[in-house]
Amino acid sequence: MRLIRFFNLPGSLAVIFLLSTSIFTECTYTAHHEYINPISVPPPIKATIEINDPNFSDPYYLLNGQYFSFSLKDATKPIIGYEVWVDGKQADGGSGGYANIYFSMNPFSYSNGSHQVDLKIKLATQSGSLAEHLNAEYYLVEKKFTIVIDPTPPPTISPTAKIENGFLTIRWNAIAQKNFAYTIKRTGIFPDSTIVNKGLDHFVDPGYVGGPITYEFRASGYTFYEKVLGTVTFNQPFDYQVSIDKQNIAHVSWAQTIISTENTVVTVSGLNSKTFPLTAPVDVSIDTLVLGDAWNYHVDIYRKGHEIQKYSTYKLLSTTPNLKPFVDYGILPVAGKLLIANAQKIYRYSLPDFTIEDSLSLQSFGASQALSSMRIPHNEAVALVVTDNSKLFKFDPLNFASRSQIDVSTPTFSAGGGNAPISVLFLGNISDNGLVTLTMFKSSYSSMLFDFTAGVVKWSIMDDNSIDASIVSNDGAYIVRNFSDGSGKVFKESQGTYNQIGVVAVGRKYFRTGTNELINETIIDQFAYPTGATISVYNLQSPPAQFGQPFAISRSMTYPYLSSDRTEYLVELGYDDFTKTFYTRHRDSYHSIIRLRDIDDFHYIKTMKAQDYTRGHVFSNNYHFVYRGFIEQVK
Amino acid sequence: MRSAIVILFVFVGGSALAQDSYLVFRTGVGTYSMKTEKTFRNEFLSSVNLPLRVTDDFPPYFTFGVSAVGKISSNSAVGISFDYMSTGGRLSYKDYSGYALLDQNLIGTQYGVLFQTKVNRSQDWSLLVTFNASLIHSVLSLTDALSIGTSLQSESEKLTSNSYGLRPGIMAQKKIRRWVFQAGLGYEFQTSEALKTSNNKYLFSPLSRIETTADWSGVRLSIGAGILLYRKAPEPVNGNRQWVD
Repeated sequence: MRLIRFFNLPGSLAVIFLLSTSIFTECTYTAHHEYINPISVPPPIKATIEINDPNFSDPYYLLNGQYFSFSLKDATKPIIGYEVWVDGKQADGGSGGYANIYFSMNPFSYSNGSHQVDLKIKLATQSGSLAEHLNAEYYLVEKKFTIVIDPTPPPTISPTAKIENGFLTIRWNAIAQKNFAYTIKRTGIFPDSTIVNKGLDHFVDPGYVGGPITYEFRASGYTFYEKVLGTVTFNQPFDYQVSIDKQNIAHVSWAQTIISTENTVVTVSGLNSKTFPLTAPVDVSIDTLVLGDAWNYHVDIYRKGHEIQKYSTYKLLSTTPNLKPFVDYGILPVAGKLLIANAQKIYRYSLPDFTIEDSLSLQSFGASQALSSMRIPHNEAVALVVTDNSKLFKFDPLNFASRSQIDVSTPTFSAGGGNAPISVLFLGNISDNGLVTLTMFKSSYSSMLFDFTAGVVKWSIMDDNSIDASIVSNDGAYIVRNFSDGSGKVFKESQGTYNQIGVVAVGRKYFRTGTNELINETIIDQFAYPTGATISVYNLQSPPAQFGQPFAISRSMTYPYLSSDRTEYLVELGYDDFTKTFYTRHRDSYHSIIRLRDIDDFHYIKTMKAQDYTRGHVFSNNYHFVYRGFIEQVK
Repeated sequence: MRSAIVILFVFVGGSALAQDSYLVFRTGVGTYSMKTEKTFRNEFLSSVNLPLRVTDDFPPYFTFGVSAVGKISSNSAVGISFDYMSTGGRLSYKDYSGYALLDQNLIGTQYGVLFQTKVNRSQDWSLLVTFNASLIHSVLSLTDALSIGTSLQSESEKLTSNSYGLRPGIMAQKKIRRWVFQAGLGYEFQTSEALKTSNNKYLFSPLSRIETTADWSGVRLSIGAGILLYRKAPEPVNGNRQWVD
């Protein structure tokens, strides 16, 4: 009953309410579990910041706007970011992984004086902690240094230069100031520049091997750019000799070198070249020189790795001329003499020693202008020469004192212009019996045969369109001449009169002395290409039936204009009546080349070379010479 | 709406007390959907990029309730009820460097009316089908905290919502003298109403921008005990006393 009474309604409700309230309060769910990651605090690391500049020093003088590159040494963790602080203010920064980190500083952005730079690199701890996830945990590596901004230019210097131990060494008094960078500019045969470290007092130019050069010291820094502090000029020529030996071989030689031979290469070049390591002494045989050769022999020197500083020099090496330069010549084989004529003088040389025996000046003839064509007959008895383009003189080739003028202004020479003054006069050839062919212009061209012994003109003809001289045979029996109608006409003497007996090709013509043969060579001109030139031999004893018909060609030979390898081209043909040979003259890139052949069967005899920049390169009576004044005997 | 519910509550309660009636205190276990709360949590987890883990995932938890029931016919009764439920979620991480967490603690209180009807003929045990309609008042206590070293950042917010629930169920009940014993099984259906702060700010999921609600939907399992409050004068049958069910 007591129990029932206890559980009467009000009491029961009160108990249940209190119980429920307590349960509600205590049994409300509250999230309470935790996830604990059992990781450890990451251990310390050793890493340092390195500035990627071999010239970096602390303090660092900031000369201009520049990039600083820095990286981590001994870093085993990835970089997650960096910060650059200058004077306590962040100047730069970034995040992410970098191999090298850059930041720039410009002196114009800071005041003069010192500034503290603090580089901070953040490395991931890779601990995986909450703090790392929030970028609140990282390894911090720092480097502090000072930059200095100083606008004061450095003082001037007085550099000196000389070769020391084979290398050009420039010395100067070191400048204590650090706020600049040197630039040494080389000027001379090449422009170049190099940088030297501050604080040095000398600079060894590893590439200098010779020649004139100027070193200009320039300093650049904050507020000054390439200020010239001083200059020094130097020149070390390369001492070498060029020579020709008895075999006409060119030599380039030197006894010693002042510059170091270390890693140094030299090239000696003339017509050919040789390259070899520089050494001393050296005697290089390089070319075989020919008649009249003259070449610049170059020596080019450079040191490996410094090709831009190659030094080049040259010297002229030329064969020695043994004649005066001339425009016409005559050989006297019997007397052993050579007469040459230039515009002012006639010289007589003795052969084969080429010594001058006598000379005859223009004034000796009473002339005022120039000597021109000179002719000597086979018998060597007389010589004729034209002066002032209008006067004809006769003189003894072996005795210059014996000379006289032949007056060609007389009525005897009236053909082709009457008594008009002569403006052009030139000679063909002279026969042993005193006949000379000459061509003159008064009012028109006349070609004639003049007997200077008798003083009479034995044959003449007018041909306004051809200025070719006539040629007379050595016995005076034949005259031949090119005419403007495109034919060579042959005339034969009969009872004091010369009559045409036939025609031959146009070209340079020679009577072969002692025979009845007439030689004709095609004149090389621009129209000869590509057909070349032909030498033809005619027998004057076999004239055609009619005087207007061509002579039959006894024999001939044609030469192509270009050689088969296209390195030579044909210049001219020539005939030497003394040796009964003819030659072809060719030119290649450097030389004039004569190839001698027999006139009878055209067989090849020999080749002669000369350096010839004019047309005067001939072979006559076993002498080989060029008009520039070089002659040699051909054996 | 709230006024209508109060009127209904008073009316039904009055009706119950006017008949045979009893008061029952219940306790049990409920499961809770908390779908949008989980969405909020998951999206928060995705967006903060921290190594947080789910340590509390709105687990089933005890429910408490009280109801007053009055018979309205021989087999049926109506009543009023009050229920209390709670659950919570947590994202947590902790290591030597600090900790981080997000707590979502929810408390729900239900104010309901019920109807139950007997579906068996047993005189010892009554098997009842029950329907409970309620107003659910939810309170979300949202707390986040981040502590690194000696630094602590934390903030809390309370959000509330009112929604409606309907919980059908079955219940076994036995009366012994003046005592009433119950065991029930039901499922709570609930309307979705957004949680908001006192100044009408809503809580959205960080990514999908879904309004967060307190979704108490779930199974309800309960047992209860109570006492009869009022009994109709019995009419003796064969000299025995008879209690209404």
